[in-house]
Amino acid sequence: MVLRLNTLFQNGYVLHRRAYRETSFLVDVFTLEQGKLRVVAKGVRNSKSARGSLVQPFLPLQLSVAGRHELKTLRHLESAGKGFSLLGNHLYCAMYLNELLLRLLPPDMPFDILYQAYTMSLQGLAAKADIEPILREYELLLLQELGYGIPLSHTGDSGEPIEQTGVYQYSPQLGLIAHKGRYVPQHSFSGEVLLDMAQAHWHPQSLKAAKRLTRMALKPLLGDKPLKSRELFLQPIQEFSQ
Amino acid sequence: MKFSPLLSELITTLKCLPGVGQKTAQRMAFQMLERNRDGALALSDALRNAMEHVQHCSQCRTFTESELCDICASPSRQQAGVLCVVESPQDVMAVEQTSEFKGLYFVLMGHLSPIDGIGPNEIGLDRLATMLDTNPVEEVILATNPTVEGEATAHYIAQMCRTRTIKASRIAHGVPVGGELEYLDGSTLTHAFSGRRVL
Repeated sequence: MVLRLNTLFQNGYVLHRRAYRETSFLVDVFTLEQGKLRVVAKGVRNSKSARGSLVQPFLPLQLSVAGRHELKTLRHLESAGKGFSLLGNHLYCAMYLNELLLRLLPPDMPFDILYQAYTMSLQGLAAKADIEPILREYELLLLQELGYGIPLSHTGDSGEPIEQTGVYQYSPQLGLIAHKGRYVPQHSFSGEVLLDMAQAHWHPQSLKAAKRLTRMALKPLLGDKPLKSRELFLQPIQEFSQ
Repeated sequence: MKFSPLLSELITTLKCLPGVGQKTAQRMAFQMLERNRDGALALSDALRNAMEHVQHCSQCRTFTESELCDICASPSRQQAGVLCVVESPQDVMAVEQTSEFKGLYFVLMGHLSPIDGIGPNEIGLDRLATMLDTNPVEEVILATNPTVEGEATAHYIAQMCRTRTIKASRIAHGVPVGGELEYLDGSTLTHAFSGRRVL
């Protein structure tokens, strides 16, 4: 079965590529059928090879891979449509999406819902839509698909529905729980904002809260190494303030 | 058969060269020992000298053994007011060979690649910022590679220029000279069309 699947064309995107040996690339791809894969694209860096321009992120591809081990060999590679032209902050965001996928997805497991959402997010970013809602919806979906979803309609410990007037806090083990103890604005969320987030009703408060919530939820998954793509956003702001 | 200690050490160290494996390293070692001992001694001197003395230019980060590289030290280039940002010292050579550009360079020694852990500080953008502040630069030409990372780097630097009201321009991409449209990939052709010029 695996062998048969390997010979079929898959739809996918390049997440990242790095130079390997003299003329090859080590490529991480995200495909609809097999999820995240690492493949060797042989001879692609050769100046005579026309495939080099295809081994680029944000370009829909059709590819087939071969091999039984974790590291596979790229057999065929074709363009499956026009690449997303991303500029400036939208490009950094798309790189952030790739970094998240690369860091968090387990290899060789299909995530079709996430794949569709990835395509939709890239379309949104290429159309220069608002960055924040795209990123927040994507992060929430990613957490859910990885099995770390945060239920936004009821609390994680008692299962009671989230009330408009309630105040809640996030616990990595339980999810959202009714707020106890001292009120710390950085760690608590109002019920109203959480319900808006659940319905993807985005306004400045719900976006801000969603950003805090997804950061708290992603942090234990990402470990000690910080996400570098965030630096691309931080630096210019520091420069402005100087 | 085992080689003598000195010989096997030579073969092992030769393998640090790119594209050189055990077999090639052996051939090189024997060629030098049998036929060209003088050349090999000159090579070892040159290697030692270069490794000990070649540093990064304090201004543009390219390789040089002096404090400032020849290009940065040249007064006419300093007055040109144009700065070309490239990814590697090889790119400097490539642009120099065209003798089309008469300004200063800045070599990033890489590109922004968050996934590999390369952020703005790792490619010396702090140093570029001081260069932009201290030198009378009127235009920055962004000659990073036409890859996603190269584009991201170009945009990031363009943003830095905008805050300093310095003009930033990106090199054009399109059909290579002597190439044929038929064999060109779609994205290059798209760039070529969107960047067309009135004749």
